[in-house]
Amino acid sequence: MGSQVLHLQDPVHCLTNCSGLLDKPQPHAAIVWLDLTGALREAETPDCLSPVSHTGATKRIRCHSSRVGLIPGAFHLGCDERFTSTARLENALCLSSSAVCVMPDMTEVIPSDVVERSIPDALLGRRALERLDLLLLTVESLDLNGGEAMLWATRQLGFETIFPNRVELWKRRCHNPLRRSTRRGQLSAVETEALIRILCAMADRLYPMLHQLLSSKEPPDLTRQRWGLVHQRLRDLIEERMNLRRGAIQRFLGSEPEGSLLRQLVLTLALSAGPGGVDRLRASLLDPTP
Amino acid sequence: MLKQSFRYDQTTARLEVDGLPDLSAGHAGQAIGILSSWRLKIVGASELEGKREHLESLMQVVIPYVRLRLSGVVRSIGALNDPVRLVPDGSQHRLDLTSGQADIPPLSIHLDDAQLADLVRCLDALRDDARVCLAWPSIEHEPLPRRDLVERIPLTQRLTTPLLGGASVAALAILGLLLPLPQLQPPQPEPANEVKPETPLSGSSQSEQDR
Repeated sequence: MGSQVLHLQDPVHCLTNCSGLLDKPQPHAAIVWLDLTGALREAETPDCLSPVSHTGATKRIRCHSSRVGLIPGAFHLGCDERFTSTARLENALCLSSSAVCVMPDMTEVIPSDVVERSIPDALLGRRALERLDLLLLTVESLDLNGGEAMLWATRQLGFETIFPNRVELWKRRCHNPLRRSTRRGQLSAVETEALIRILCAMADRLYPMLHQLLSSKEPPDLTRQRWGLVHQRLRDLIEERMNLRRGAIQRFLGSEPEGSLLRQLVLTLALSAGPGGVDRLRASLLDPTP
Repeated sequence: MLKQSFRYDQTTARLEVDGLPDLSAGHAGQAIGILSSWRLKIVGASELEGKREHLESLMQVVIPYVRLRLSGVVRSIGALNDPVRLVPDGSQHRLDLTSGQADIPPLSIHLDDAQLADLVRCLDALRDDARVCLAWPSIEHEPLPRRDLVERIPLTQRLTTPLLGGASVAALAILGLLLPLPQLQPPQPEPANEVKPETPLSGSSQSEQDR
């Protein structure tokens, strides 16, 4: 039996947005247990949502899958997705006091059939390697625990043989020519495909946060603070790992928090989140250099 | 009840499909083999519904549009008279829907980036759902041709290099025209010093003939 945490990232925003979908929208979280077929078995809602952690559920309700829309925030995540248990709420990343994003538990992810699928023969060029590594770096800037989460995703997706440990994962990412310590050569097709799928899985996991950043319905001040926070984290990571003498790096470091480059990175993650985005992202990375 | 109804939820979008299992094709009772109707709710917009053809048109417009946006290409998908058209509108996206019935006016829905991502995730979830046994239109994602990618570079930036090159050539040409041409000197008549042709050194042979 899988479990799923459903909640609202921003009560104010969701109160506005869900008025057309929910009967009684409330800024509460709901924890929903699903059976193996993805059908809803039972749900419980806490009286309050703590941004850091909560384990107590004071109210328990039973409902059918057709009533998912009546649970506050339940519309946010589909019932066919498997997400985290309550303990994983401790890993929630707070972007503000009123916002919390749940990190889905990777242990709940059922290994997909990615290993069984044929790996397309995708060899990335220099620009694509830069872009792929920058997207992974953006994931790390969105999730403080992103490095560990990537390792979890690697195991859950069945890529342990390709990236048995964090060093091997780091070595593949160092093929980015913009890195401070770069490696020559190209990624193999299998390694490329594995990195793309890991990135899409991570984007799927962080999708609520990506949605917050991209939504125009969010309060402007809050959005500005979020963009500023992400930009600062990405800037710190870039200064730590990239070659600062490169023009592309200097251009990014001199850009605004809501600049087009960072927005394009976040938008790319949002549009390539989940299994449906793998083909799109791969094709996009294989674009020729104009 | 054979009727099945599946729902795909995101924060600002909800897609619901209704249908029946196609028992003649051997579908299970919890599958949809015949789509009877669908509804799409986008927060802040009217509810959309239609037949399977309309849903397929929506897929064939939204998913390629998102693919273009991933490459940074800003371009509309769909012709003017198509039932579904997605047009970039500043920082937003405008979904134009034209009904097949004459008495229904066209509808435009403005989507921000988050709503567009929600919409495409709903469509992805429907296409990947193994319970929906329908042959959706195939959408292949291929690398874009170079001419499409050139469009994402601003026109001024694209024209800067050829314009600078052309201006340099023109400036050099004008400068070259301004330079005075060297005066051609008419050939001076040479003094009439007739040079006698040298006698060939045939003394030895002549002497031989004389002999």
